[in-house]
Amino acid sequence: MRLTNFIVRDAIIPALTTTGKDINPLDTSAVAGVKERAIREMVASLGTAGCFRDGDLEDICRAVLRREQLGTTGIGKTIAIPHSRHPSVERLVGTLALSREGLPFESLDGEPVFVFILLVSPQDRPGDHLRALEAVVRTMRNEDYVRQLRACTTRDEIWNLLENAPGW
Amino acid sequence: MAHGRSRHDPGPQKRAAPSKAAPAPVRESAPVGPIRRTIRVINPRGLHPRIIDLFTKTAKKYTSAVTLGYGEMRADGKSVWDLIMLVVLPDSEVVLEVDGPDAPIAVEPLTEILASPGGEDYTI
Repeated sequence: MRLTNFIVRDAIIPALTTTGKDINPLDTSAVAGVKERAIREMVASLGTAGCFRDGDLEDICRAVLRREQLGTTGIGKTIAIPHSRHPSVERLVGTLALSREGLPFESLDGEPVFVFILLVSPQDRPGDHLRALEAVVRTMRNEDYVRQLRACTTRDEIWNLLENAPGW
Repeated sequence: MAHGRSRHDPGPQKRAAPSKAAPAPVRESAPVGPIRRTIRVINPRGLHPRIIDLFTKTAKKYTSAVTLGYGEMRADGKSVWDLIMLVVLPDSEVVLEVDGPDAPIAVEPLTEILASPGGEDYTI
């Protein structure tokens, strides 16, 4: 599976408006607030791109946040993969968002996150969900590629880089 | 102040010390080689990130090397990134390999995590 198989071009966010400035990474309440704002921004972007009905937005946000409460999806090396399953989507959809300053996300390595890939999967396709996660990890383990990605400033630049991701 | 111990009771440490004439104790925890177990993953979501997170955190408690094999692939059992790349689907078999001095005690909790049906919230 390739990232362009599930990342929705129109939902890509070149620069999240959510900020983590002046947040103490050890302040769990403040960090939870940052996480929620970032996740809501990404889910809203998928909604605007037509991936699900407006009426499902809040429920999807809550599902992703609930999943995040069970354990961080900040897997380290500046990457996080917030995700959830939800009956409102018929196929796996996702978005990619960049944070210019990096956000505290309770990552496994304790470092801020600059690249987010948010996934929403149907309830009954565990294989697709796992293959999408694998595609993210396989791509993002290339540090040079992540550096190029973080340097992108427009949706088109990001999409072009995703289409030419290494490893295929 | 010591409680409940007579002056002649040397205490656990001294009691456990072998005499000079005694043979070297047998170390039951010292394995000859890696311990391998084939385990069926019955979690309906397969080996998903929450399970992987729990597995790697548990594996890191031990000094032994932990490896997970799936088909022809092998992954470092202490690396979230490596394990995500295995894409272990529901109802498939993995081979757990634990190699090191604490392998006999590490293998049980690691097996339990992989074999568990979860009992988790499968809707998210």
